[in-house]
Amino acid sequence: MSRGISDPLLTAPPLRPRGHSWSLDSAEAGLALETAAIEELARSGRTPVRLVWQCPPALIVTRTEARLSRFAQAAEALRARGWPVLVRGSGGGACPLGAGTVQCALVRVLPSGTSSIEHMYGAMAAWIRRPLARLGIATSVGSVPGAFCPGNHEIVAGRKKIAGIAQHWRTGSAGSHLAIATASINVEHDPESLAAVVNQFYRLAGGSHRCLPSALTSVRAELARPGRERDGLMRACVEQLHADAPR
Amino acid sequence: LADIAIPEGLWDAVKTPEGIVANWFYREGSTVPAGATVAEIMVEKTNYEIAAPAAGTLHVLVPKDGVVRPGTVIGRIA
Repeated sequence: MSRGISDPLLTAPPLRPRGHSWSLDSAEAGLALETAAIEELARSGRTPVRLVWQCPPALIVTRTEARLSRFAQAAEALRARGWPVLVRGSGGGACPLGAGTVQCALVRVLPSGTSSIEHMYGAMAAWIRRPLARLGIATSVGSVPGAFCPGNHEIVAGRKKIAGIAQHWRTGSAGSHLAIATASINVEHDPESLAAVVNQFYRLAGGSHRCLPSALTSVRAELARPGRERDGLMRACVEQLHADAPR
Repeated sequence: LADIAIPEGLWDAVKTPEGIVANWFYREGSTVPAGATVAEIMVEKTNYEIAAPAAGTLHVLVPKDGVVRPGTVIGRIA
């Protein structure tokens, strides 16, 4: 494994009671938290686990992107610039996290044949859209050309990506599935810096995708309330995510 | 023989016609233990890990980057 890539299993913190949120020291700890939630659910039963967490800057990429020809060099260069690159289990593309984003995850055991990836996308989209609506932001679900980590189940505000969802499924016991859906919501990160780090990664690693800042937005931008205290806006988002967490 | 198949209904093939085999974790002809993750499917920002249904010798039927749908048999364990 290349320098700059970390194994989340090595630093998994103990799980706290369900429905709590964490302000973590690293994105690595957040990925470890998600991994620990999957492992706990695999052992202990069928109650969904919900996580909400924040972390310092990091770029989380897929295993496919970790096989790009110059991935190791790109990861090293970005790490030196304050953007450690971590490999996650879900699909999609490179996704930047930071102090202005909040991540949430829903982990479920699904008996075989009873659910599909669309059901999980729907549950996550509903979870994210309700808090945004309470904050006054109308959203839809769809695709946004030019966004990073593009897909067809993005949370869209004013034709721009405000949050993205990805999933990781694996086989559980007795034919069941263990499914985790994860999302990152841009609360108050400026789109230009997010697009810049994504484009820098692909350019250095040898990937072809490019992100347009104009395809991205944030909660702060949509609310258009400049000068509002940063902590207040983030706290409001986190509290609303807890209030609307799927059961 | 035991099929390594993508579960029916894993995704809505009308909305998302195709996925791909993103990775094989064992080579053709390898001996694999039951339950080992042998392949990874990617569809619409979802990675799906497929476990070997039995122990034995792996035969790859759909190579890496090959197109798949729910129900596709991507390999066999002999």
